[in-house]
Amino acid sequence: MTVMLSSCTDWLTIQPAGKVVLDNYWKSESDVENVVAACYRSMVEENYVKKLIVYGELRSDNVTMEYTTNQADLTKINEGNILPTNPYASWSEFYQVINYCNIILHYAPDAQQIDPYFSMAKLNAKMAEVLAIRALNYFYLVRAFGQVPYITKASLSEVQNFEIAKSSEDVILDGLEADLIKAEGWAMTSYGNTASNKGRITKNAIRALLADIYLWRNKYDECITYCDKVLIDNSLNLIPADLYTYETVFGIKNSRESIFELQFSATNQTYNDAVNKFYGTYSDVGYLNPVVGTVCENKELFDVNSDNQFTDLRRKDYIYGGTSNSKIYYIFKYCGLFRSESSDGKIYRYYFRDAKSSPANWIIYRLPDIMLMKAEALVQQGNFLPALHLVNTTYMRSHPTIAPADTLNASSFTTKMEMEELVLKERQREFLFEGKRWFDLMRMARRDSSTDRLLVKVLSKYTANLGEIGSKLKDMNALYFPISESELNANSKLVQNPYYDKEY
Amino acid sequence: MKNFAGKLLPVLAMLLMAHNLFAQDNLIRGRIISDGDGQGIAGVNINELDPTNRFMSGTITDMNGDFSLKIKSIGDKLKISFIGFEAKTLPIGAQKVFNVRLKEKSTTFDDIVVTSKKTTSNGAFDIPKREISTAIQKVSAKDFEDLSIASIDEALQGRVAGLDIISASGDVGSGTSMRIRGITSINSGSEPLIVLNGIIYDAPSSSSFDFTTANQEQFADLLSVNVSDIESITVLKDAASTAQWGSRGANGVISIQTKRGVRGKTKFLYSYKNSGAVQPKGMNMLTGNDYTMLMKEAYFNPNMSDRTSNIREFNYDRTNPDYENYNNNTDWVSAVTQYGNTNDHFVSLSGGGERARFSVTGGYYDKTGTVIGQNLIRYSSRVSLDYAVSDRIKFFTEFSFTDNSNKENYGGLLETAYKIMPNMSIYSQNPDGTNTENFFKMPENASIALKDQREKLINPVALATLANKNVRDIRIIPVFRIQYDFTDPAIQMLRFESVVSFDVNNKSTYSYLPKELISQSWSKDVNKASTLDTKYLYLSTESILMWSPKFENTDHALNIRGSFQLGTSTSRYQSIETSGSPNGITASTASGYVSNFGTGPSESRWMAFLGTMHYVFKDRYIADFTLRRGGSTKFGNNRKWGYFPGISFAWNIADEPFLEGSKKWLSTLKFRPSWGFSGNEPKAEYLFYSMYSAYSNYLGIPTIRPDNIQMTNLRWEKVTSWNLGLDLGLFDDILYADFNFYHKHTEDMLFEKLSIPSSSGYGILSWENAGTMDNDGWELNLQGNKLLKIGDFYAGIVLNFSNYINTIIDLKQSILDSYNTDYTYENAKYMSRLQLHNAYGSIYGFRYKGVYQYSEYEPGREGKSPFALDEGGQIIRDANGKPLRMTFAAGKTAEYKFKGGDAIYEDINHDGNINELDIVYLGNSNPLFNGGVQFKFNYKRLSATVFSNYRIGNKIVNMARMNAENMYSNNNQAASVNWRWRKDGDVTSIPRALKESGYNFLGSDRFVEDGSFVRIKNIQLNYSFDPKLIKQMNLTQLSLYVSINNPVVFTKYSGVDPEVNYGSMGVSTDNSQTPSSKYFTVGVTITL
Repeated sequence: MTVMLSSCTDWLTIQPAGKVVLDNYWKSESDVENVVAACYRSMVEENYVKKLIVYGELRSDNVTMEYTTNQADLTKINEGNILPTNPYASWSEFYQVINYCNIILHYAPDAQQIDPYFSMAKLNAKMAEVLAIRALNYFYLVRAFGQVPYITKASLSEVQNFEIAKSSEDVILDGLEADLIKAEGWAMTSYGNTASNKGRITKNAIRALLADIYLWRNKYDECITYCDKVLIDNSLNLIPADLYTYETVFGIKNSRESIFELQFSATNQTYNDAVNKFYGTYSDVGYLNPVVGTVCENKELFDVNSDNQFTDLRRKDYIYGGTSNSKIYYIFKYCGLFRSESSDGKIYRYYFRDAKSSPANWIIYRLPDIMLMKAEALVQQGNFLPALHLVNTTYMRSHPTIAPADTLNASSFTTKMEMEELVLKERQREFLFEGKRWFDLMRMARRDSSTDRLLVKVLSKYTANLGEIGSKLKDMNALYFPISESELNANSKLVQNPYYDKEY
Repeated sequence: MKNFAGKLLPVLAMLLMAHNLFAQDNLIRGRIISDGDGQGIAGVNINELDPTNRFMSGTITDMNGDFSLKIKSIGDKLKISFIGFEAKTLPIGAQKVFNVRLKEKSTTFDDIVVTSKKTTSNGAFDIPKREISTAIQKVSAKDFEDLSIASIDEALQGRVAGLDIISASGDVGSGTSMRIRGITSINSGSEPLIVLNGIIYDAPSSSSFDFTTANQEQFADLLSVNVSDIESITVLKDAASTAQWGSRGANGVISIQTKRGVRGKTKFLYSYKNSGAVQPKGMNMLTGNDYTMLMKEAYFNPNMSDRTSNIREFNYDRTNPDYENYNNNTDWVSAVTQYGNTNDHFVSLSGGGERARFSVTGGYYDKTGTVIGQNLIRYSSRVSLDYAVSDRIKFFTEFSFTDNSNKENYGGLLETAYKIMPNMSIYSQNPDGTNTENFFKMPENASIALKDQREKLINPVALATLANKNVRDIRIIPVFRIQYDFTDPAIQMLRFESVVSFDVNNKSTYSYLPKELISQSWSKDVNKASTLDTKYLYLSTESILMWSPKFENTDHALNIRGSFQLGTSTSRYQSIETSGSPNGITASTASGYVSNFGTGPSESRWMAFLGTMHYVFKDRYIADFTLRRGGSTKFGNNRKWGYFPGISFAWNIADEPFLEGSKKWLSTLKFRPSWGFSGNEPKAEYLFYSMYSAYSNYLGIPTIRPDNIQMTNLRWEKVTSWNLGLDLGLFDDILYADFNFYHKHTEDMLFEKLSIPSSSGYGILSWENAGTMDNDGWELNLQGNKLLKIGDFYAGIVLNFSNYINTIIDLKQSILDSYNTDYTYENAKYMSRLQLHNAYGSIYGFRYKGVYQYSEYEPGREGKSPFALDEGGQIIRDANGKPLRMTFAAGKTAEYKFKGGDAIYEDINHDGNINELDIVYLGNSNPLFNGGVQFKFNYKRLSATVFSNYRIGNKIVNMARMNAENMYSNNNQAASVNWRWRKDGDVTSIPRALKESGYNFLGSDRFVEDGSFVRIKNIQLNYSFDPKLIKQMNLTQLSLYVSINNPVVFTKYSGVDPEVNYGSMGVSTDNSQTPSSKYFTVGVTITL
């Protein structure tokens, strides 16, 4: 009888076709490799990149909503009216990646034990990649939400407790720093081909991330140390203007100045629809437009010559549209392939990419970022001249037509405030629409312990309801996103973020 | 024994003689003559049968009645039979010549009273009705055979106490939702199990993909059984009766028996039914002229600005090139509705003799909907053949085939018709106002304000004409049974039975949306074609051993049945969606963008050991025991098996000797207590595995990702139920009542898609056991057959009532939290609450008190202007002595100050602020009771039946009316909004028009209506002709019938149809689905 029953139980055991069950997985190096690739793959999901844009760009003074767009959730964020029910308040995409990372960290050592060709060094390189991906995701969460649950254990079975309280920013960032320092030692310098070197985590990507975290935490010495580690690497160079900076960096992608960019490709059917929808394509207007006053027609931001033409290439490269009688401008960065220009630089034509055959990448770190992070740190340390030199490096690249004498002059930037503003402005010019601006402004506000300067800049993009938006952003806590309501409901340990916990 | 020996001895003697005399030759011969006229009869069957009645050899007599036959053994019997004569069986023995006289059967009976025990299957045994101890109810096909209905759920509606059936919509081929004794599960499906001739009739497993909705699947299931093939339907309600179905039985069981061949002359039957259907009148909508006037107001009111209301399409602007297309009064609703017609043909051929019985049926059903573009065509056929090899060995085979083709609408036509701008024309119009042959679609350069109309609402007439959605479903079900009796069943039964059944189901859905219908430039959503193919194979076997021992003491009777069942189902789906194909290419195989592609196999298996016992003592005390041990692939190793017991007793009190005296009037009094335990399993497979599946590539590296959280503890949902039943029959059961009182307790309630913190990396747990729920209820069934008898006139009544209360006992806090979200301060939203110790399906909202007549306060305008009043009805003033204006959501982003013409919501706490604190309980969607009443009348050969069903005391959220009276969007509105508030002082109950502004349609009792109704479901009239009269036409039966379905609904509900399905959270929400149509049927049945 027992024999019969156990054979019955065998008969009642079937395994899914087309899927692998845990017992048969984690047996070899490639098993690990495939899940590591899934971490990256889930970061090129449309909703993931959308959130990078919403968290880093939308609330800033760079962009505003295209008025014909019917995107109520985005409009509300743009107007500083973020409700916990807003779908962009959900952090699920980030934690999905984090959990993949946690699962790899949990099981990869088992695979290493089994696969004789899977050396310890190879395992460590994978662990480094995964630690860095996890750190990057947490760093986004910390910047967007402040405090979040810091989970480093894999979610495996329903018997686990998934209701985990928030950790303080310091606890999380201390953890990330430790992980990254460990990972830096283990990580690969090169994967043997350009796409992988730019599309996967390398030693330089880890250093860039570390520098970013240190800067966020006002740890300027450490920030400079890690920036320098990247800057001394000769494999990275700025693409000069005569090599068509825009086309090389954003059109062709994976340039020599790139450190880490999310790879989209038509063959993998990853079309970067987030960029297509937010910034537009040749045929469709995007949800977001550059702000006319603070960006498009801002003569202080982008220098103007005697012909009333912008001389800064970046203004021409990143924005198109706008005629003498129409003030409608559109974002060209990422949507565009290249731009041609008449010899006097007055007339230019824009060529768009075909989003279906050559989708844009999304750049997380590139060399100018390292330079300007270092500049920002140097300014905070009162070290103005080397900072100015770094700013000039990126500034001059985009002003090939002006004489070196017209570079930004040290005599014009004598106070710390002036220098800070200069670096901030240069970062705005350089990283327009790259999902950096809002975090730059937040860093400034955090250092000031006040949103006053941030407010002046951000409010300049609005034409209505200035008072209301201003009064909301007075509160430092309002710089963060609320925790999504569904998350609060599912997790009794969570407390709503300050500012959003009162009546909204 | 004495008798037996007396017969045996002469046979033995003859046998010996025969052996001596004719041992070398076993040819026999003879003549069969009629006892009446002494003439030989031609064509008489002469069969040699062995002692178990197995056929050995046979012949028929010639013209003169002579025959000769070579026999196999002289120990066999000779059976002589002919239609119309009484058969004779003779031992062969030594006899060589058989001259036999056959007696003609007498055809006239004078006053013969036949008392036979009518037996009913309780799922395991065919037992007399009086021995039934569980709560089951049988419905005979006679009750609905004159109706033109596509599937049995429609036939069952209102007929069974405790079975609540609500049709999802009146669309052709749309499903129903069935609930036996309330809902046992909030989220894992409460549909009962369908069993066809003892075999689970399953819906294809939908674990790996989502067809459409579960209800529609169930519908498709039932649609492949032709109603005309059905003999009877038994509904098993209590757990003692459903325990035999174990994990599948928790929601009750509907067991269908189909017709089989019966012994006798071959019978040919043909029936034809024709039905015509019309749709009941829905809401009156605004004409184009009224609509444009409303829209101008709606755009003006929010900002008091003429600029916003200046919309070209509403301006009757002759300079607009599309002027003619926007100056119409189109009645879209009547443009998409039509007269629906149904043709239902059915033929059946059945008959059989001693050895073989057969039945062959064929049906053709063709129905066009009351909404244009819908058409259902079904071909069905069923063959059954029973063959008795001998008295001991019998074969039964069944084969059914159904081919359903359902042409559906691509989208909800009626829904669109109620929304689309009525000033727009159906066809593009020439400058002189005449129609072209092209459908009109709003051009891309239309006003931006009309974007939602342009993009979301496709011209419904064009959609019905140009787009396709076809669902084809072919289903073949062969069943083979073999039965062997080890002993003579007449003495004591020991029988083995083996059943093998297959269910092959292929379904394909094909749809196409051409570019002409979409008002947007060439993009990937244009010319969208998709195909979904599913193949499904279900195989089950059952081996049964039955024993009915013979007791010396006749006080005892016992039936024991043990069986072993095994089932396996495999399915595979393939779907592909392409778009952007060139015009004219409508198949998804053409190269376009493959926007979606999927394929997936799925498999599941189950196994069960089942033992049942039926014991009767002194005909009065009955006990039934069931125990099932069931196993399923759906659970992990330690959770695979479950035990499902059921116990029930019955006591026929009326048969007790002490009630002998009241036998005259008290024919039945039976008490039936029962207890049982059944289960529910999740629909999905492989949940207890941690799975890894392929994703796509990154940098050319294939990616694999973990899919789910491993559900190591997933287990059966357990349903325990008590049932106390009482049967009462008076005056020879002319008046018969059965009453059931039950308590149903669901533990480890299965929840699908349970939210968990997304910080776990997964948003949901696919399924989890997470709560406890109770259902308490009662059912009463009353039958008064031939209650009234005046000469040739009979009248009878059958009615049933049922009611239940559903209570959530315990639920994981996280589920409560995720269901009970914070109030969002949005229009059209009702608060839904899942509360412990409360019923599911409760509705919460504001109380609507009409419309503010004035904007500003003056004395005497208390309550008529939007200013706060205290409990005494006095105006509340602020610190400066100014009256306090009523505010909505004060201090929130949604804050709004009420003005004249806005809706008045009752300020329950008198704080001048309408917020969640003013939300009150508005009712529940569960009916107080529901059921049906049937009146039967017979006069000679004319019979009439009036059948009605009802639901009393349930609340419905009339979302259809809300959408048609909110004056908030560009959608067309109901004519009632012509009574809207327009200027200060207007007295009305309809607020002012505010385009995308204000809070005039917050969830309030304004749109919560009493859904009680009594529906005359059908009136049937049947006349069957006198057999003597039609015998000359060589017919045995000819009947004509007429039925009228759904002629009247008595209800206070203002919507089209108060029969509204349960929506999310168990709240019935009327979303203007196609209402049940009114139809009449005429039919004829001819039997040869």
